[in-house]
Amino acid sequence: MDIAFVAAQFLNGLAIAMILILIASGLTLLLGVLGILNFAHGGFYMLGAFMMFSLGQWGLGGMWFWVGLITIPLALALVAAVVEICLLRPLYHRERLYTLLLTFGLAMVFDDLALLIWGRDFKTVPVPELLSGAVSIGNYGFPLHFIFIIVVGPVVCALLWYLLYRTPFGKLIRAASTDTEMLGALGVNVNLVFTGVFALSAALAGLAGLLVAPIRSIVPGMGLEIFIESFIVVVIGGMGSLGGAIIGALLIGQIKAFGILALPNFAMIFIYLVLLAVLIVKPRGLFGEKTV
Amino acid sequence: MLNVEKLNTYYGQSHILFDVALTVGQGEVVSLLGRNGAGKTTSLRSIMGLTPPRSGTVSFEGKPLQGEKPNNICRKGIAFVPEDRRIFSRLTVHENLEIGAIRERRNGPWSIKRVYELFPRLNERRHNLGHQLSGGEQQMLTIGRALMGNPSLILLDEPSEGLAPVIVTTVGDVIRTVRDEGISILLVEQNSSFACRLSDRAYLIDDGRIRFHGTIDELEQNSELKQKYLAV
Repeated sequence: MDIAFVAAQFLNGLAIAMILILIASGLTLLLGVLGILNFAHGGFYMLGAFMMFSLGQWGLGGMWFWVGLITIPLALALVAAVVEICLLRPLYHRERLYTLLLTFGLAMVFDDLALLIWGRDFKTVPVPELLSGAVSIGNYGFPLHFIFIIVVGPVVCALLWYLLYRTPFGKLIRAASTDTEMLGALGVNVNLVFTGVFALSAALAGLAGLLVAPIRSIVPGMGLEIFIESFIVVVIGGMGSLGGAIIGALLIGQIKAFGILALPNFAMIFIYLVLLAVLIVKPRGLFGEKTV
Repeated sequence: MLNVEKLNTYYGQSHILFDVALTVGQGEVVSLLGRNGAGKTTSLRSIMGLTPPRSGTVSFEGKPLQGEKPNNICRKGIAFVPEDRRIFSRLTVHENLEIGAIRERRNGPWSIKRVYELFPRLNERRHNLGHQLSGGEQQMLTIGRALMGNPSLILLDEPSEGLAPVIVTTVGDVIRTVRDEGISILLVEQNSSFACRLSDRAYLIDDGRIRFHGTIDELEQNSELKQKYLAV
């Protein structure tokens, strides 16, 4: 194993981590603010990938990827807002179990919807022309699209940080994550905050989906797979902690990248081992708070 | 300005408030006194819409409030200062105050600058997070946060609880200052001597029922009543 190979594999892990960050940050926001575990979260990731597939078919004069990069997250945010208002909102005052069942059902509805629209076959999306090259690292060619993902991740994280810590909406999100009832008693329509967070999380998941569309096969069921991985990331980082989700994703990304070299067919084992170790040492995750 | 009639409130199956009735006039400080578990906090939560009453009416400045959501009740000019302060722990002092005024501003004299003048200590701590504050500082912040919404009535739940005597004096001064601005206050207290010094009138509540209503003088002269409903 020469140094260039290790470097390439490290970057690979970094790209995996960026995708996980986009998904896990939404998942952890939903846990922290709405207090729900959204089983359907991976569905938005899957829909993002399928929508990118359709845009690729249409071509749009070669601009399909860049059009999708902007419009798909917005479209999914809209879908999510409708879902939240019509389906989740009536359940908030009921037992938490109902919301859990609903999102679980939604996950299946999303999968079947994808089957209905796009069919059962694996779909592939070409790498956009602008990103189709490779960067050479020693003797290895590292795909430019991966570099793009590695750049997009931190940019989105920075924007998310700005949103949370420098805007009025971010202030409301952080306040809602400690005490929604008090926030309501201060005149804030908490329902709108919830809708906003749900839409934001779906847009982030959709962005992750469209980013991976050109580098993996697209199939119904990919949502559940990524949901499990990103949920592990959230648990390792500490539920509701954004910083924890980022650290957790970076960790899991590297474990996947290098674990696959050691045991090609059983790389998930390493992830579960780390999960176990973290839960034994710190049951609330690396950055979990004592009182939640 | 606040008129509560025949309020009945339940937590699940258990009946907590029985036909509670009280009024607070413009610029008045009214105490609601009683022991732990008598129904004081539930009364405030019912008025605020946090625990909606099952029956009865609440009207404020002539308009009915029952059935409204807490955020709408707040925007009509009622502020809620909870017993456990409920500071947003992950927000700074400054951000907590901003949240108090984040909805479209009702016209009024209160601003962050004035809150800092009233509580210089909060200005010193403005960049500290909510969970780094002492109990007294939290109490100042929760009152300041309520003032930021420019309310015309404040529901104040046990502001003296758990505070050092010197801080209780400060809180008393603040309540007088707020009253002098023309803001009405419904003050819930177990500490009746503290409340009586500040109030115009008082209600005694026990087992979810109003047992007495009168001026502070009338209450002070009736030692039997005080013994029965307030003695620990």
